[in-house]
Amino acid sequence: MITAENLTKRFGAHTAVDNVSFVARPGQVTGFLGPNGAGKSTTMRMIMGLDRPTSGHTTVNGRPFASHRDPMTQAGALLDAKAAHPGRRAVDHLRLLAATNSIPDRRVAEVLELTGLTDVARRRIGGFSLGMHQRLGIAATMLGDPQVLIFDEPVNGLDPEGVHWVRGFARARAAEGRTVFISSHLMSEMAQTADHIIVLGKGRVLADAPLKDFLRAAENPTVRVRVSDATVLGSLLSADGVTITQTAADSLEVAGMPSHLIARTAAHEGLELHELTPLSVSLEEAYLALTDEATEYRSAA
Amino acid sequence: MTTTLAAPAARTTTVTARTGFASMMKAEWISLTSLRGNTISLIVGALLVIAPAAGFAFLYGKDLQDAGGDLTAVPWVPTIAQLSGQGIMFAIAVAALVGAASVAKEHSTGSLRTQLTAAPRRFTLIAAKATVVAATVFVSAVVLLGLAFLAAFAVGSLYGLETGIDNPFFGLILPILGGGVFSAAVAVFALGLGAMLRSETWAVTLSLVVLYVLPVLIMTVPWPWAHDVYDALLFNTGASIASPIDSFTGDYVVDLVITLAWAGVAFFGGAAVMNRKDA
Repeated sequence: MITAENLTKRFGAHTAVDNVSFVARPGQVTGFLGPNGAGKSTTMRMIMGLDRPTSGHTTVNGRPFASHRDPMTQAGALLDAKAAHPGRRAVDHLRLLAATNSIPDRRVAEVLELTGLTDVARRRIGGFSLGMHQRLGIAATMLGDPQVLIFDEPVNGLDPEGVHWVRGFARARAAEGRTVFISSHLMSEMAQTADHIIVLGKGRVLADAPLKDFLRAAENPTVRVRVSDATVLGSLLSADGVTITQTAADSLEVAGMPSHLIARTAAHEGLELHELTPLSVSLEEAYLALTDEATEYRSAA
Repeated sequence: MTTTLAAPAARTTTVTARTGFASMMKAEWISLTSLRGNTISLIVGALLVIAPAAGFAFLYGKDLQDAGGDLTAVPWVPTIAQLSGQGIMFAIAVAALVGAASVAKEHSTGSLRTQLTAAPRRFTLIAAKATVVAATVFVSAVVLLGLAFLAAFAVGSLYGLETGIDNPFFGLILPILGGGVFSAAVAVFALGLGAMLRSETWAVTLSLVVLYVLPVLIMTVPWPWAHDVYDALLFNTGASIASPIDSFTGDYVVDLVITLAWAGVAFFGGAAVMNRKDA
């Protein structure tokens, strides 16, 4: 389990992470979503002890990560797939990391097998493709068979096969009972991988909810209704959980009620319907709306 | 407000792990020996230490041979022990390269950050790195200086140079061990600079400036204290402990302590920067 409590990180006058608190739980893939510059990577680096928080703190399995005597069995993190010496062979890179925690070399062979890198184990890392770098980084995270896995944008730049493999890998590890914490700037990606989503924007937590809540919001769109008497229909549709906004004399926007029920009510009262349009909001649009104000870098177009 | 969250029942891991100084030393040994650049440095270092010893033995021996073996007919002939230490100035340059790269190159490639995600205790990491680099450079330098002596001895014998050593301990063994300490101290000095500057280029440049340029600059300064400073510079104290002596003196001990202090100050400076800064 990962916890962050009131975590803040400032670089000079710039606040990269602003009073962030959350929990990532075992048995789930927790998606850490946000636009570029939202503070996702900085937060992950603070969890792993690479960056020091300005205030607040994080724990991995109940303690600060650096205080564990067996760090590799507690957490494995892939924060930058390219962060390896290009002149070193893949197997030596893994042997070196394993040795830091007294993990035997046979485990190196196991993680190479797990990530499909056995055939290239003796090649120098400098000649690796991005996909192979990602697999090597994931292999390193698995050396200690850890409780917690942290992946920062693991599918960036991967081909479809690679993306599919990473998704499956993350889901399988969470199914084993591990805490899997993955960052991405793509809602579509998280929708296919995560059970729970934390949305970060300009260093702040904008949303922290199960994926199904996001899906429900996207599946129950607002319906635009143009009708002969909007006031009468509005009063007829009033009910718990239904939000009605009259936008013109003959027009309403109804949230929380499916289109067929609105049509049935209008027909029952003899009201003449002129338009019944679901204002569909995709998951991506819901996310963009949420992070619109919190986007750090945007194009002029 | 602080909230304490109870960790749920954890799954059982199949791997036993434990980090500490010994495991970090093993990792640093793999780190050092798994790079082709370090093997090349060792080969280049071997050439630069052994070749001058053999080469100068040949030049002085040829000079003596041309003079018909008459020692009074040549201006000066160094001893075999002096000839075998000719390559120490190259050995320390290679040691500076290896020391600086062991931290700065690992930092610039991101490898150091990956290592810190596996073993996050920074002082343990840099201490293990310095220990392994120092031990490796010391052993390499001692072996190469020993081989350099054998080369100078073999070539000098061919050309009739005096090969006897009056006091083998003070005249040969101690200078070789001193050369090893000097090389190891330079490696740790460069490692500390590498940790402070986080740049291999700047760490190597500054190390070479301190070793080779600073003594020349200090000697040109007209003030009286410049001579004392000159005596305390790393190149001079290191060269002193790597030279043949007649017996132990207070000056020898002072030179040894100052040589180690140069390495110690740079190491703790580098460790402090590494500890304080974000990785």
